[in-house]
Formats: sequence, structure tokens, C-alpha cells
Amino acid sequence: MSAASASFQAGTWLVLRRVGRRHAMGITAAAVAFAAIASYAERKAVVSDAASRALQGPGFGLALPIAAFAVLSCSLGRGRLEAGVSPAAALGAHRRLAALGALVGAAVVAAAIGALIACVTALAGHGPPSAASVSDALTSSWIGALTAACYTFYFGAGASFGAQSGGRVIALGLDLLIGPLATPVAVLFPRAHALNLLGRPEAVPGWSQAASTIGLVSLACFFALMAVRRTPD
Amino acid sequence: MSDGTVVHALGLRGHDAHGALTGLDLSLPSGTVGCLVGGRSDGTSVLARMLAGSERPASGHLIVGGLPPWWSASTRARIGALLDEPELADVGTVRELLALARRLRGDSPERESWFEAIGASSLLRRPIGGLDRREVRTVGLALALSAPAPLLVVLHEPLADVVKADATVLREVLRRRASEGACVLVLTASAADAAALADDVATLKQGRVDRAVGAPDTDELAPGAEIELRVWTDKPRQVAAALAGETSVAALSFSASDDSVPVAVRSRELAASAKAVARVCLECGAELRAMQAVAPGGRAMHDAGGQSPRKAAP
Repeated sequence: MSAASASFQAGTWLVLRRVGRRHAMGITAAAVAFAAIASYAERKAVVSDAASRALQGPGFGLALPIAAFAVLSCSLGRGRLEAGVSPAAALGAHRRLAALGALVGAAVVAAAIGALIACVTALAGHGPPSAASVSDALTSSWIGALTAACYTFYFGAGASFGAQSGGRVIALGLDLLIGPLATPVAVLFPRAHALNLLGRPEAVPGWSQAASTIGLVSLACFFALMAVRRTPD
Repeated sequence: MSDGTVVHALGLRGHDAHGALTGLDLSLPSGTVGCLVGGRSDGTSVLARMLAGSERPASGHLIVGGLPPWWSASTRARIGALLDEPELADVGTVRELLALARRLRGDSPERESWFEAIGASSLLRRPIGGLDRREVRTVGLALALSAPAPLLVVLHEPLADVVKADATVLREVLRRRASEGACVLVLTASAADAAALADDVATLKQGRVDRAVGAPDTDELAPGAEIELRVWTDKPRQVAAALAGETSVAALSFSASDDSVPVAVRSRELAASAKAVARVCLECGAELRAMQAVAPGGRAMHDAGGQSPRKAAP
């Protein structure tokens, strides 16, 4: 095995060990419970279109980005991205590849949690299960997985800024503030594309849902590249 | 580097929670076992982190094997480092960590003969997350010593907070690494550990190299320990005979066949024995050409024919 692939694997393995079963379960339970309760409350308030409102509001607006943020924080600790992979770097791992491996590992975990959040939110919003609600839950799940993965790379890029990795907190704040605004700048944030995929096209004016899917993938690649480029080797 | 210098630091500055480097200049050659004596507040822990490539210097230059370790993965793969608080990659068990290290560094044996002696063998099946501080440092020591074809081996307090502190075994392994071309640097607050492990000793004080040990601060570093004073004179036999009666002299040696070999004087009080040497030379009419204090355990003492100085016949 080459040192490059060993570096990537070391980063991934480190993150999966750190997040571990206990942290992953805790984050999932908290996020899913919040999303389910919020979705149930939406349906109690107004039955019509409750699932969409719950998905676009508490589900993808709060639970999903915060869960992705929590996964990344468990993966890297409180420090910068390069500090998160320093145990592997001390053994000769390429920091950049280890960091990429760490982000991919964290993104996989976050995607699984994101899919679950979206699925539960949709089902709770629809009420009694039906073919339509299951179909909607499945569609929401892949949107949740893709969005959560994109958020992980987004926060990962943020973690390469600031002496104490304050960049990731700023990234979260910017997404909360600017992401929902229907402005041209919003296309740079995962939230806007997720809202478009969930049926709110005004979030990114002029973008089709297919374009937003490509947008989310492109943003994930862009943020991953930015995070890797800003990490010393 | 062409001149055999492995570590080159110039104006190195940086700090951690314990201490700081305040413009350290340092050049270390390959094939030596050196030691910097100083506490963490003098910057030993941050120096170890910088040399290992785990900490970026705040300013100044640090080159190991021609490249800065912070930026070069290939250099870090050839640096074995035991830090004050080793960060072990939690990839499962100690055995799995060693396997990961092997993949990242290239081939190196999973288990070496000295693993048993430092207590690392018993930890191989233990999960990384379940190790206490002493065990973590022992695994860190094993990782540091097992780096293949190392450029640099830097050990922070290798005989403190480890499962088995065996200076004899460690000294042998360090010498082997040095003979393979590595530069070995021990950072410790203990003069006794420095004496037990290293050939060349200097002090690190407030973030800078203070001076080579062998100067008068030897007594301060190792109070109560014997110090060797080497005396070059034109009449070594007479001087040695006269010194044998001095109360400040604990032991001495000289060469009966070669007058160019210095008289080795051991004492517990450097100043008193130096005065005695000067007085005796005056009384004997001997020319006192040079005197040199040598740190306990220093290379000069170990290379003195492999024999302990003996009390001269009166």
C-alpha cells in the first residue's frame, strides 16, 4: 500500500473511531427526536403541507446542519483541520490526504444521519403511512444525505480558518443567515440548494432541481478542495 | 546535508502551554546521541513538538534532513519522536497502531527485540483508548525508536512516566540508531538521565541553548555527582602522584606510558579540585597546559579506555 492511500485511510479510520458508535447514536437520537417533534407540531398546527414545512424549516434548517456540525466537531475535536489528523501526520502521513480522508469519513457518517433525519421528518409530517408519504420520505432521504455530506465539507473548509478553528462556527452562522435568503449569494450555501430540492425554487432563482443537485455536489467538491489546499502537507 | 548536519535551527521561536523557545540556534550532526538538559518551561516540550513536525515554528527556520518537518511528510516519516504528551492515533489496538505506522513509514518490524525491555510487548493487544499516561508514553517510545532509517530520534523525558525505565537498554538502542546515521536528541530535566543516555550534553535555558555541560554548571545540574577534570601537563606522573594526597580528589588516573594522555581527576567539588591541580602544578614545577571539566557520563569519560579512573599509587 502506498503512503498516499495509507494517509487517506488513516484519516478516515481516525474519524470513524473518534465519532464512534456512542457519539453517532447520540447525535442521531437528538437530531431525529427534534425533527420528529417539530414535524409533529407542524402537522398539529396545520395539516396541509406539514411535511414540506417541517422539512424546509426545522428538519433541513436546524437539525441537519447542526447534526453535520456535531459530527465534524466529534471528528476533529476543537482544533483546526490539520490538528485533527496530527496523530497520523506524526507517523509520516500526508496531512492533506489524511484531512481529505477524515472529511470523507465524517461526510459518510453525516450523510447517514442526514438521511435518517429527512426520512423521519417527512414521515412524521405526513402522519399515517401511505405510498405517497413513503415515496416522499425516500426522496427526502437522498436529499438529506447529499445535503449533510455537503455541509460536512463546508464546515471542514471552515475548520481550516482561525487559530482555534473558529471558521467553522462562522460558516454555520453564515449558512443560517444568508442561506435562506433568495439572493444570488445564496447559491454558495448548501441550504439554498437543499431548499430548492425540497420544493422551494425561489431559494435559488433560476436553478432547476437537477442544477441544484449538481450545485450541491460541486459545492461539496469545492469545499473539500479548499479544506485540503489550506492544510499543510 | 553535505556537512553531516541533520538538524539546523536558526532563531527558532514558538511556545506551548509550558514554555517557549526564544530564538534557538541549534545544529546537530548525524551519528551522535546528544542531550539538552532543561525543564518544560525552558522550551523542551515545544522543541520536541517542532522537531517532530507536530508544531509549526512561530518564527525562525527549522530544517531536518534538508526539509522543514512541519511541511514535509517524507521527513516526518523518518523522525521518531516521543513527545511530552504523545498523541497516539486511535485506530484500535497498539498492534494496529504499529501496523499503521509501518504502512505510513514504509517497512519496519512490528516487534523488535527491545520491545520487551521497555514494556511495550505487553501492550500490543491493548486498545489505544484504554491506555494510561505511562502506557501511552511507552507506546510513543516504541514508535519513536522503531522508525526505519531515521534521520532524527527526539525523545522528551524517555526515562520518565514509562512502563519500564531501563537506561541501559535505551542507551544501547539509541547508540544503535546513531550508528545507523540518525541524529539522536534527548530532552530531559534530569542530569542523571542525560548522563545515562547521552554522549554530548548541553543546557537549554529559557528557550536557548545555554552552554555545553562540562563547564562549571555541571555541579549545579548534578549536585553530589562526581565530576571529571582532565588536566594536560608536561609532567603527568608527578602531578598525579601529588594529587593523590589531596582530600578534594576522589580518584584519578593517568597513563604511565604516554605523557600526552591527560590526567583524569574525579572529585565532587569542581572548584576545589581545580584549585588543587593548579597548586600542585606550581609545587611540582609542572606546566599546566589545559584543564577541561567533563560531564558525568559524557563521551570523554566513557571513551577513557573503558576503565574507571583509579586511585594512583602515592
